[in-house]
Parts: sequence; C-alpha cells; structure tokens
Amino acid sequence: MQYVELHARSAFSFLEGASLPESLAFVCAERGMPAMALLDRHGVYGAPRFHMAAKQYEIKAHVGAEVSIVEGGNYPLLVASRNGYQNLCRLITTTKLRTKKKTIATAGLAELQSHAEGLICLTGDEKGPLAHTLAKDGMAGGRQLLQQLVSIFGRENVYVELQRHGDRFQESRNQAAIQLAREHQLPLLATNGVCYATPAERQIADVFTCIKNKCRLDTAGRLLAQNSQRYIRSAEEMTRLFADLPEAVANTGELSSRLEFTLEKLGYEFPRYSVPEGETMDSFLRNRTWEGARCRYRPVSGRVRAQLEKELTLIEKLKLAGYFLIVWDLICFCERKGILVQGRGSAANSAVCYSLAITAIDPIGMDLLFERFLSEERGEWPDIDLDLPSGDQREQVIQYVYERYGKRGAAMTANVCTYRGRSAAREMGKVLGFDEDTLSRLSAAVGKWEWRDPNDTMEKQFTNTGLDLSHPQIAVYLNLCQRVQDLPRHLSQHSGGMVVCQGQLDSVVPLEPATMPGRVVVQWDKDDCADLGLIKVDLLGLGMMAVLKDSIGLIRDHYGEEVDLAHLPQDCPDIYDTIRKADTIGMFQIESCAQMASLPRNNPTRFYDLVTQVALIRPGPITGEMTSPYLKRRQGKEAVTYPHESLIPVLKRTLGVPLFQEQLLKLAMICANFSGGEAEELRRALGSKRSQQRMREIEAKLRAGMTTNCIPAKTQDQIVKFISSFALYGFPESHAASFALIAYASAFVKVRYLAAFTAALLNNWPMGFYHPATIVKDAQRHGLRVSPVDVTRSEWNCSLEPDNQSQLTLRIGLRYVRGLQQSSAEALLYQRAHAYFVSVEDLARRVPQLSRDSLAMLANIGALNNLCGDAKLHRRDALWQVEKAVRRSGPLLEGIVGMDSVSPLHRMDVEERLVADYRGTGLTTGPHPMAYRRDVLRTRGVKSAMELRNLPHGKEATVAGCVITRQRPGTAKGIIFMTLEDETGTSRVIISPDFYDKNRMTVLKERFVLVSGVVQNQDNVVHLKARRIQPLAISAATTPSHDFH
Amino acid sequence: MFACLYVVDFPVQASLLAERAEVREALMQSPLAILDGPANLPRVVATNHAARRAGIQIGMTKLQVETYGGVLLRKRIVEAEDLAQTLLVQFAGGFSPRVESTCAGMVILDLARTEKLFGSPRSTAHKIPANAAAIGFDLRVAIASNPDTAFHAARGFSAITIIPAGDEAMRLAPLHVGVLPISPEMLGVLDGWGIHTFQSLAALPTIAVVERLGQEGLYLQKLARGQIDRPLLTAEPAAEFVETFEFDDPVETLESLFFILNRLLQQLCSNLVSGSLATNELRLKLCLEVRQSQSGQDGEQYEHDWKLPIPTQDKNLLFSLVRLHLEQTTFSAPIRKLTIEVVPVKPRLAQGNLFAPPSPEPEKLEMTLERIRGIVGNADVDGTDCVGSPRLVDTHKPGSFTVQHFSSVDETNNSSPAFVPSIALRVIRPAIETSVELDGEKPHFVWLWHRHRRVLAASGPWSSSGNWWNASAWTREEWDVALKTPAGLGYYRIYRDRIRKQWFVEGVFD
Repeated sequence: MQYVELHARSAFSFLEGASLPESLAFVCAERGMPAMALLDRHGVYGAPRFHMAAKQYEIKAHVGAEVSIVEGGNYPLLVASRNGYQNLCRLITTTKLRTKKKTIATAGLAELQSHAEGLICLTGDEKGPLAHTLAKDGMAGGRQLLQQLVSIFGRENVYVELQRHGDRFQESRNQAAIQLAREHQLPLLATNGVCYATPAERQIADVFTCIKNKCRLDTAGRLLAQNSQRYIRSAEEMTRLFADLPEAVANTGELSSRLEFTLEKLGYEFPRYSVPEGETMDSFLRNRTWEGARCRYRPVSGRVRAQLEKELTLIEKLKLAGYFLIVWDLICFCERKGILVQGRGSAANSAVCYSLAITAIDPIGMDLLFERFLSEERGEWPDIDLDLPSGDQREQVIQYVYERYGKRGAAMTANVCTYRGRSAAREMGKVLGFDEDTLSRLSAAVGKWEWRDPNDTMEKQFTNTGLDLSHPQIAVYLNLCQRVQDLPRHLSQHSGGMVVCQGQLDSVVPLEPATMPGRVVVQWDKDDCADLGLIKVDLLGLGMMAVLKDSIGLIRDHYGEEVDLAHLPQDCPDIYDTIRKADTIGMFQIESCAQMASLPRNNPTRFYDLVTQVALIRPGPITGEMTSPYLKRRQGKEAVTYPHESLIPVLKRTLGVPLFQEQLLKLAMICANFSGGEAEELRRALGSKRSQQRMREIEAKLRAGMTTNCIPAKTQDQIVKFISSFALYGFPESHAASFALIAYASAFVKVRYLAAFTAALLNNWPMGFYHPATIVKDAQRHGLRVSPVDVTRSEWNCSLEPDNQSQLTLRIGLRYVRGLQQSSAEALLYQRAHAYFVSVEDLARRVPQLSRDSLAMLANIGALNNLCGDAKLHRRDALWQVEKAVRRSGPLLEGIVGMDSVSPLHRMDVEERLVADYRGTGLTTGPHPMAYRRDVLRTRGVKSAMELRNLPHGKEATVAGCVITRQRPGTAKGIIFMTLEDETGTSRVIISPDFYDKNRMTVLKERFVLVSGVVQNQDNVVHLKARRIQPLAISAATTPSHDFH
Repeated sequence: MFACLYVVDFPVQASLLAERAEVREALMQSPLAILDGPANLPRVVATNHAARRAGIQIGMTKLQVETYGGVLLRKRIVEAEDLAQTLLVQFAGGFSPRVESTCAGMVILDLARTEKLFGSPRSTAHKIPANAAAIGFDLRVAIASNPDTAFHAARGFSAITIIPAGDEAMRLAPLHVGVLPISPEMLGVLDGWGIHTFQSLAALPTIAVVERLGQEGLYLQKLARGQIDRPLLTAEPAAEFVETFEFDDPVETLESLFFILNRLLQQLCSNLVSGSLATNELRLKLCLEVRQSQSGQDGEQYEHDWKLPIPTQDKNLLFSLVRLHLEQTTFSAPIRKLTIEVVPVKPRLAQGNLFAPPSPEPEKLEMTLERIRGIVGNADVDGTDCVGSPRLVDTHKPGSFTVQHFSSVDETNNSSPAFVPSIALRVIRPAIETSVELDGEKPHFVWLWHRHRRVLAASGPWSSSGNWWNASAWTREEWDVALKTPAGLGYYRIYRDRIRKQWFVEGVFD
C-alpha cells in the first residue's frame, strides 16, 4: 500500500524539529515514498530547501504549516492549491506582523475561516486542536470542534489524524478520534508526526527541547520525548502499524494526489513598471537605454550598438524590462536626493546597466563577459547589487522601496543563523549540565582567529581544555556538538537584500517583523529566494560611498571646487605614485596590510592595474596560488606562460594567470566547449555548499570537454584547480572594476583634498582598516594640520577651518569626545550660536545637558582651554573650575566672585596630556607618543619606521612603536602580521606561529613594543621578521589597536 | 598612642594560615594569586609579592594568569579570611584590651596604659611583628597619636613606623592618596587635578576644597593632614556556641554521658537566649578511648549532625533528640571527650494560622522521625533515604520514585501535566523476571507462577526510553496481556528491558 507522510517538521521549526529539510527528503526517497509534506511551525521556513532537495530526489514536496490558534492547539494546514498557499502566507503574515518578537504568533478562528480556501486541515497530534479539545471538554467538545472545522474548511477538507508512537494515552485519544470521525463521516489519515529523519536524531530533538525550555537533560523530565518513534516510517511499517485501519494509510496517497500545489508554481511576479501611455516596458527601457548610451558613449560605435541591441533583445525575450526599469527608478531616486549610488557585481558586465547609469564601468571598453550577468540557458534572474552610502541615506532608499511597493509588497531577505563551533559548544554544555567554569573553558577553547590550523578539530580543541574524551559523558557531548553543527538556530535580517513583488509579497512568502523598526523580513534567505526565482535587489551600505559624498560637500564648501566622481581625471601620475608607494591608509580596498605589501610589486600605473590589484588579494587567488606568479610576472621575474595556447586570448590581460571569475567562465567555454550559461552554472555549482553531487557531475563534464579538445591531463588538473579556487572566493572582473573605481576615487580625493577626505573619513568611522588615531597621524605626516576639540570652535562632526595662511586645518569634532551625547553637544552648539561662552561656569549654566562627567572630560582633553578668551586656561584650571561650576555653592557664597579664580593646580605634563587625549578622544593631535622618546631609542640603536624602509634585506634591526593592527589572515598559515606606528610612519612585523606561542601575552596585549629581527626587504616591501619582542614603557596612554582575530 | 597592625596581602596570608610554617614560607616565595568572582569569570583579587614581580595584576582573569605559567592559583575562601581576622583580633588583644577590628587584615589597638606591661610604644611596636610571625602573620605596624594616622601609616609604609605627635602631616606627606578611604569617583577627580599625594591634598585651600568636593573632600584633607581623632570601635567578645568536656576517666555508661550532655546543652541554650538566637543544626562529636595499637582506625571518633525543621532554643528538645539517637547507637570504646555545637540562626518569628489544617508540631514530628530512624536506619543500600515521603520522579520511566525528608521542599518539576491513571495496577516490586514466547512481535506465552500461560489478548507494544546521555540509559517495551490462570482470567503488565534483553512481569491489573 502506498503511504505518504503528510505531517513532518524540520529543524526550521526552530527547536521543534531536528533534521534539515534535505535530510528529510533524502530519507523519504530512500524509503520509497513518492511525496512528503513539510509543515514547519508558524511558517514555511524550510519549504524552499525541501522543495529543491525533493526535486533532486524526484519526490513531490507538499507545502503546509502548523498554525497556532488563540482558542488552543496547533492546526496542521496542508496547501492544496496556489490560492491555498497564498491564504496560508497571508494568514501567517497577519499573525506574525502583530506579534512581538519571541512570542508565539496566534491567529483567531475568524481569521482562519477567512483564509481557509485551498487549505486542508488535519486534526493534529498531541498539540493539535482535537487533542487539546478532548483534554479540555471531552467527547462533546470534540464533536463541536469537528463541526466547526467542517464549517470552516468544508467536509472534504478535514481529515482526522491518527499517529501511533507506542503511547497508551495517544492510543486512547486515537480511539476517541476514530469514534468522532465515524460519527461525522470524516476520513481518517495516518501520519507519523515526523520530527526527525531517523530514530537516532531523537537525541537532537531532546536537546532542542531542553534549549527551548531552558533546562538540562537531567531535569527536563517528561518534557523530553517518550521514545524515538517520530522518524520517517516506510509504507510497510505504517501499514503494519495501522493494520486495523487500512483506510487511514490509503487516504494518505489519495490526499497527496489532491495536493496540486508545489513551490514550482509559486506565482511570483516582479512588479511592473508603469510607463507612459503608448509605451511598453520594453520600448520604454529601449528608449532610456539609447538616451543613456548617447550620453555615456560619445559616440555610440557600431560595437556598442551591436552589444546594446544584443542585450536589449535578450532582456525583451526574458521579459526582464520591468526589473531593469525598477532598478533604474531607484537610481533616479538616488539622483534626485543627491545620494551616491553605484552598481556592483555582475551587473557591471552589462552595457544596458552602464547606459542606464546603474553601473559606472564600461563593459565594452573593458571587454567584460555579458553571460556572467545574464544568459538564456540559466533561466534565472540577474543579480544587481547597489552600493549606497552607509547610514541614513541607505535607509532612505530602503524606505523608498517600502513606500513605492507597500509594506507587504517589499521586504528584506532573511539570514539563517546556525549552530557553529562556539555556540554549539556552549549550548550543548548547558544542556548536559556542565558548570559555568567548564562552559567558559570550552567557549574560550574554540578558536577565535580567522586562521584555523588544519588539525584544529573540535576533538583537539576539547582535549586542549582538559576534557577527557574517553569519558562517556564527554563523548556524548562531543558527539552532540558535531551533530548540531549547521542546524538552524534562529532567523535574522540580511544586510541589504530586498525582495519586491507585483501583487502582494505576503502571498508569495510569509513576512515577519524585523528587529529594526519599520522593516519586515521574509521567511527565506537569499539563496532560497534565488532558488525560487524571487528577484532580489541588494542595497548595500558602503562606508566609503558616504565618505566620498561628504568629501564632495566639503570640497565644494572649502576648496570652492566641484568634483564629479563620474568624470574624474583618469590615470593621474601623482595618484598612481602614491598608490605604488603603498601610501594608502584610508583608501578603499587597498589599505590593508596585505594590499600594501603587494602594491609596490604590482606597481599599478593605470586603471586596469587597480582592477587586478583589488582582485589579487582575495582568498581565491591566494589559495589558488595565483597571487605570487602574477606579481612575479608583473615584475618580469617569471616568464608569461599559458596552460594551453587556446587560452591566450582569455588570460593575456592577466599575464597567463586567471584572476577573475569571468576568466573561469571563458576557460570552461574555450577548453570544454561550454556555453555561457553552462559555464555560469559551473561556477554556481562549484561555489555552492549544497550540491556536492552536482559539482562532481559538472567537473566530469568539464574534463570530458577538455579531453575532446585534446587538452592533456596535467593541464586539465591545472584548469580544474583554477576553477575550483575561484568559484567561491574570487571577484568577477566587473565587481573588481566597480571597486577599483571607488578605490581610485578615494585615492584621488585623498591625494588632492586631504583635509576634506580625512574629515569625511573621521566622520564616517567606524569603517575601513585603521583607527582614527592612525588616520589622524597619517594625515599629519602628509602635512595636514589637525586641531584638537575645542568647545568654542568644534562642531559635532570634524570640520575644516582656514588658518592665517589660508591653509585648511582639520578641527576634531565633538563626536570624538567619549561619553558626550549628541543631544548635549547640539544644545552646546545652539547656545554657542547665540552667544560665546565666557567661562566654564557660563558653559555649565547655559548648557545644563552637559553632565559633570562630560564637562570634566572636555576639560581633561583641553576642549575648555579657550573659554576665557585671551586668558587661556590650562586643562587643570578648567578641571578646577568644572568642579565648582557643577556644585552649586548655595545663596551664602553665590555672590562671592573670583575668590579663587586662579587654580592651585599644576599644568598637565606631556605624559598626562597624552593619557588624557587617548582616554578622552581615542587620538591625539599632538606629537606621536613615540616622538618624545626618539632620542633615547636612537641611543639604543632602534630604527624608526622610515629608517627601516631603507635597510637592506637580511640585516638585523630593531624597531619600536605603538601596535595599531594585529592580523592573523585565514590564508597565512598561522602567521600574525603586526603593524607598528611611530612618528615617521608604519612598519610591519611578521610573527611566526612558534614565536607567537612563546610570546603570546606580549603580542596580544602590549600597546608599545620593541621588536628585533631580520629585515625582509623584497621589491621595496619591507617586513621585520621578529626574533625578540618586549614590552616598551613609552606611555600609559590607551592607544587603540584594530585586531582581526 | 594607637597602634595599627596591617596584614599585607591579607587574602593570600589568610589562605595559607592552615598550612605548616615551612610550607607557608615556601608558598610565599613562589607566585601565588587568589581568585574570586563568578564561576565563569574568576579574577585575581590578591597576589603575593612574587606574583606581582612575575607580572600578575589585580583584576586579571584566570585565563590570563594561566598564560604566565608557574603561578599557583587559589580560590578565595571567605571563611578562612573571617577566621584569620578573628585570630588577628585575638592576637592584638594580647597587647591591649581595647582593639578595633577596622577592616579585613587591619586592627587598631589603644596602647594607653600598657607601658608597664610591654614597655614604650616603640618597644611594643617591635615585639608585635615578632610575636605575629609565630602564628603565621607577616605584619606591618604603625604607631601614631590618632587611630587614622596609624591606619594610613601602616598601609602606606613598610615594616614599623612610629609617628610622634605633631609630626603627622609631615610624615604622611609622601603617601599616595589611594591609601585614603576614598571612593573611585573622588580618586578620579583628584587624579585629574594631578593631586597624587597626601601632601598635595593637604596643601589645597580648604574653602576651595569644600566648594568642590563637599564635606567628603574636607574629611579626606583632614585625614591627609593627620588631624582626625576618633574613639576606637572596640570589638565585643563573640558568644561561644561550642562546648567541650573531657572526662577524667572514660565513661562507659550513657547516664554519665547524659548528665554532662544535659549541662552543656543548658549552657549552649543560655548562650542562644542571651544572644536572641536559636539553632536549627546540632553537631555532636565524641572522642572514643581507643587502645594505642588501634589509634588511627575507624571508631576513634563518632560524629552526628541533626538538622531541625525550625530553629529552637528548647534545651529539652535538643537533649531528647541526642538521647534517642545515642540510645540506639553502640560504641566500640568508652567515651573520652564530648563536643557539642549548635549553629546559631535567627529564631522563627511566625504566628500559628487559625485556618491551617491540624498537623503535628514540628518538634514532636522530629522526635517521632528520630525514633523511626533508630529502628529502620537512615538510608538503604542504594543511599535512598528510608524515612520520609515518596515522591514520583518526573520521567517517562515507570515506577521511578525517590524519598524526601518530610520537611524538605518539594522540588518536583510541575511543568508536565500530571498523570492520572484510569485503571489500577498493582505493581510487583521488584518486577518478576520471566520468559516470553512471541508470535511475530506479540507475546504468545508468558512464564508465570511456574507455568507457561497462554496470552489470550495483548495490547501493545508501548515503548519508552530515556537517559540516553548517561549510564542510566533505559529502553523498554510494554505489553498489557490477558492470561489464563487457575483463578480465572488475569490481566498483567509485562515488559521487555531492551538493554538487558530480559522480560519482566511488572504488575497485575485490578
């Protein structure tokens, strides 16, 4: 007899199911079941992954959900038709959107009735409506419930559900249900209420029960499952189990055949763009594109015309004109609002996108591969990502999308957070009742650095913490930790992906409120959305865009010049000189230690060199061992060779070394005769974590193609290695080009308008690689005058002031005063605008929002020194007055003025000022702390950063400095890179894993260090390989360090 | 004059007090840190000199200290510090009758009129550290004309300091203001002003200080000038709640023991009454006279504790409890020494409830339970209590129960719905091992009462399993069966223990 499981929950029921949808589909297929229904609790979270897996195993994936009802019980609802699916999504959305986070969303019976069409209701398991009513009101209540269900769903759409898990009480409930079903002539339906794929996973289900109820396995008692029988049973097992009720099993097949709907027929439709009368979307797009092309390409050449025609024809064929117009609409909105925007990703491969001003890269000029963006074979939507200035302006664009498509017509995509090493270790430990001490040791033991030793397994980590893995309970613990890896934990919001829909998005996927007010999120992540063909627009916040935008404003105001980023002078030698010298602190994408170390070798002299530079320092090229050969070839130290002569046209631009994803696609197209679409599919398959089988198939196809083209086996291996290294961690050339444009713009603005750039950078921090203290010191080394915070001059943001010589000085803003609220600062600025402050007492009286601590902090950093005009205070004078000003003396002494106008306190010395500056603002505008000790250090033979650069390779040297970065990159085999800063610049120190183990605390904790070692000076890239390190007592100032671990 | 005794690194020294002198000496030479705080993030609260030299700082986490290697870590024991403080007060009491227990590791004593006993203050100051070393304390001593000056001098200066009257401000001048009893906020203000020493604080204009720092600032400034005089807050002798009696000749009869016991309890209860206290815990220790050859063997001492449901001051009740217990106990040797201790707690202040159901008085109930324990013992072989009320354990495993003391709080988990049986099952304890012949999955014959009994009807299998995460994992398959027996039809519950692979008859249905 055929049996179909119609009531299963996956781990996407969040702590109420223990298996991934893929596992359920696999076991279902293995047990020979033709179909299965996934009814996750309060949503369809797991449905896309179940659908995709079911497609792979050739079973039918029915859709449904368990919905909680106010009157009691979780109603299992199966979707019969598209209408039913839409009703289910709307019902869940309605309940979710009015429910607070972390509380259970419940619907009323009336709501259920209004959304019942196309849905089939089961009477449920022990938490279902029938069990709930029988326990509460007995058989009479049961009768009433069934009548109610029949009136809501119709007689043919209500099934009395029976489950048999070897439980006496369940069976007595079953008998009552059978009697009621016979009385009401309703069909019986056997299900197994599946919560996990195999019996072994009951343990995970028990663990999840404990996490949900915040208890331990030892104390959970009867909250845990009675036995392990909620697994996927075969038809034979179910037939045997329901031998007395064969119709209950038979009905599953019959009901399955009634469930027509699958996610294949989702009914998603991208919003149509409204066009003027007499136009179609295609014609409108065509006109806008040609208009744009005439502006961008001057003149529109035959090649351009042909490419645009090709792209437009394909867009028309794929009915994608609406999508392009909607993205274009967003670009227009940004233009109207003065918001900088730039498309990135594969969209930059499209001449249409370039013409519509969506992207800033000319794909024809750069010979970019259009198929990487859009192809007919692939049958999927193109992906357009827009970079926007982070912060309010990005939020403005997001809110515009909500406004334009309605609250239920647009939503952010979700991000599924899963159990990973540390969270799994902690949660499993709690569940097993480990004490806090052990839990902390375990959490601490699970590695933190980006780099992981290949042997750094969970077993090894636990052994290191002193756990005895042979102990039975520890063995259970380790086993659980490994098994929960990658199971979903909760849903959060994706950083920028938005989905929009023609009708109502809530009829395509349920929506939930996000933690951020005013935002809603769909129940699927971006991969799920892509799998089901939902078009996503990524609205990504990019700090550098905000910096550039702010810089343009400052340049306009203070330099009197207008900078148009779209028309920056190209290939300026001074800009490239600076970049070549790796003098790139603050510049987009090329400021990291690794980038700086490769810039002198790559020696960029034109825009395309920057494109390769951006792509070069990525995990793909580094792990694929392509970075080093490329740099050697750039320097002429290695001959340019090609894996195969047919690849010369593809790899010529990158000296025979593939650096971009497009090259990977072309490789496959040339070597293995792949079409453009097939090549893109290859990239996706290799890049996806979910499709091991698919990857093997495509690799076989690739090799077969190469064999046909008579490519030798060794070359095949090399090509396959190129491709697999790149699949996940390489940049598309178009994306690298988009980033390179921003990198060039940031370099241009920094070199030409240093004051404006630095101010904008400081105002948009946190972003980038360096702390403000480093940014300020770098700017000062480049000749910028930086003035400290001053309540008589500073604005909230850092600002520019002309000095006596008409040079611009950067004034640090009040935002850098630690602990100072923006509202207090604004009150200060408001009062200052009316009248200058004449004393500390005047400031304290007129701006009562300033707390004692804020005033003391301002005094400490010298921000009150100029309050008394010409009678300049020193910091301690101000502190002395602050204490009096904040403590009202009462009427008796109020009138006595100037009793002690001169403070008895001494001025702060240099060290005290440094400590106060770093404590109060995180930076100092005075000399670098190292400058005060330079003479002493010089007598000890310590070199400055500048002197180190001139030392030859292999020479022993000692440097000293303030540690500004510590980095242990994932691709550097455990090596730590440390950047030291002194008054002359920065120096880079290499710390080997062995050396780190011996000097762990000094490497990790000290702010100032003295390092001796051997100079590695190769191609003007200088490192010092540490042999000795010791802490240095330079200053007690809390200098900041940006640590990446 | 006043002398202040200051135990440097008090938590460290307190933790070592129980060690032998040479061990203590050795440990003080090696790096040692005391940890305290939440179990998940203990931090260093005290270190010795060797640890500080090695770079260990107050506030470091355990993990940070461990990276240094070679540092001995000990957990802070508050009781040990209390004990050490008591010892310090007692020690100081040997030099003066007026002693103030100022704070942990510090006492101040009034040296007035002690010259005839110990000589001049200077000679007293030199005697104190030498005597303290004998009981395990490494002390600093400071003598001054007022208690607070002595206090600050002891904290700020090493070894012995003697400050003549009138020199206070001058002698205290170099001390850091952190030595003062100062709040972190005030210390922050002074630090910001660059005021780091007593001298600089003392030199500030007084009115300006009051305007800025209020009365607290003025008080601190006076302290810095050594101008504050105050009376000592002397410690009262603590009441004793332990009584010991050593017999001249070991006693062999209980009557002699009871006589003394009664007297000791009388004294203890008087102490409780005079301190407005009661007790809910009584500890008895008897030292037995064991022949030399047997010394060190079990039986040399006998100890027993009683935990009472409510605090009491009733001597008769306590005596009856002990008497009942001792009457049921046999000793292997005569009793040489008797120690009895009561744990003082606040007495219960509650009024009887008119509407509460009648129940035996807790005192009487305890007496009855003690009598029962005398007969059945305290616990069975599995360690389960023998006296108390049974409580069902919250588990799917049938028949699981535990015995709880009558007065203990019911800690059963009430989160799951209560199980209400609809049919009575007489449980056979322990279950009868049996063999079952199966027909397919169903039982066909069951071996019961020495014969194979045919299964006329069977319902099942009902399966359950649990505790898969530890050694007490269980899994069973139950059947309810109708068997034909000589007395007619019998309904039984049988089950198969799947781990032991054994069938059992668990009970019979009424």
